[in-house]
Amino acid sequence: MKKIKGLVMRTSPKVTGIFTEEGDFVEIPTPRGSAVVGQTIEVNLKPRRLFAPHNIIFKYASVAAVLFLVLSISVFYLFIPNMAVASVSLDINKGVEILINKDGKVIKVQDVNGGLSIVEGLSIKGLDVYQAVDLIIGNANQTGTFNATHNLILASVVPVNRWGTHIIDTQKLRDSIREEMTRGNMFGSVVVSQANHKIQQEAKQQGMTVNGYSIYARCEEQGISVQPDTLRDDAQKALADAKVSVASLYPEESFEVRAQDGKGHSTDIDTKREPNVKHGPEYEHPSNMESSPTEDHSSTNTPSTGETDHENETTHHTAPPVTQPAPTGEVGHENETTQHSM
Amino acid sequence: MNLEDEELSRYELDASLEQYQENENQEFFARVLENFVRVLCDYHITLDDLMKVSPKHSERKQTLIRAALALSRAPVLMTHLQTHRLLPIKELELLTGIKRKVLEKGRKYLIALALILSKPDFYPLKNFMKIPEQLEERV
Repeated sequence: MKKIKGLVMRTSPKVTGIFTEEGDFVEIPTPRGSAVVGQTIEVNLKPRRLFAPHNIIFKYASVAAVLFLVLSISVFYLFIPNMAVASVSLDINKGVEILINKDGKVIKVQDVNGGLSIVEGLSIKGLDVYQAVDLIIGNANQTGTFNATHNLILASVVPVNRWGTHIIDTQKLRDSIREEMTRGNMFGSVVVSQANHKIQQEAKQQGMTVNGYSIYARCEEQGISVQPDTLRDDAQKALADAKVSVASLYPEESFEVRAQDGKGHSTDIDTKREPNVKHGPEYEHPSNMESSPTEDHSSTNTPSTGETDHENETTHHTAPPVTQPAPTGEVGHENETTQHSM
Repeated sequence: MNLEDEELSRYELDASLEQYQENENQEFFARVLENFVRVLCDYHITLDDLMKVSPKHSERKQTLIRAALALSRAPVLMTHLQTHRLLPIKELELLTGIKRKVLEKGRKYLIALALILSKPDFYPLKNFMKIPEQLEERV
């Protein structure tokens, strides 16, 4: 700051107008003491900023920028409900991708490899993701997508962005599917796992569903040879060919649902045993079963000398993997029950 | 009166003389400024106007000072200004080569400065103002 001389032209308690020796007419805050007209005073004039003449423009530009920012954020948040924050890749023989918004509602169902037939006639847009998945599974059962021997339901939760990280609870989805299958007297192996955007991209590149690619990756990890082409068309067959079960691939994320007796209570196919006969676990860990798609799972879940738990519908993979051969008569009985319930 | 008292007395005398001169100067400048403000009123220019239009950019200020110097040194143009209370923009543009737009924009500042530089009544203000030599030479 340089000091320059100024001639007081007019003064007030607040501001004083001066004529400087440099030829400027400027207003300054009235100096301490009294300044009288005609008095020569020395003042410090701040060096003017380069953009001083554009101060007003600068202010308006700042206000405009802030408004634009606020508007952009508002618009962004307004449109978020229509954005997919997560997706559920669901494979019931064929695959579909269910896009979910930030409220956990279905906004779109995309075909992945001809799986749209399982959602035909269903109006699931706007439904809760768990309801939607249940509805699709129920529809698949009614339309005969499920086979009589063994079924494989694969679901992968894929967050699309950071809002979708916790939008879908995989455990809740697992429980929901289990309940739906039990209610509909369906049976089969179910895998509900978590995937990510990278896996989804790689799956697309490989021409597989997310679930198919996930199986392929797990097989690779465990050194199991699986045919990618078969996996693309029929995951169940590919697993059977590779002689591997989903339970061994997904020990934490999979479970087995057995057919019921059709009486509405949550029992499994082998719940009609003699009460005084000691049975094994109601649901066997799928890893202990053969992975043949044509296998009769009811025959693998046989009475044993172990304790019986009639209330359990499913076998959690934390259950003891001990099974014993079933007596022929009981297997027949179970099969009969299964047929009745179907 | 001893030496110390004499020195003190001289100091007081100098101080009071300085104060007197300052007061005289201030009163003198006050009268000049009062007259200046009155003359500006004839041109419909107020001090407020001058505070507002006083150039902020040094480059623009130098351009206008140069124009004011040229105007003040051209008696014909000054006569035109004082007679018609109007700035001879066209002539000034030809004389200085400064764009009409610049001259029109700085019209009030230009008139005030031209009056300070040309009218003998305002010579004290002219003397107070330090015009860069290079500008004086260019005109």
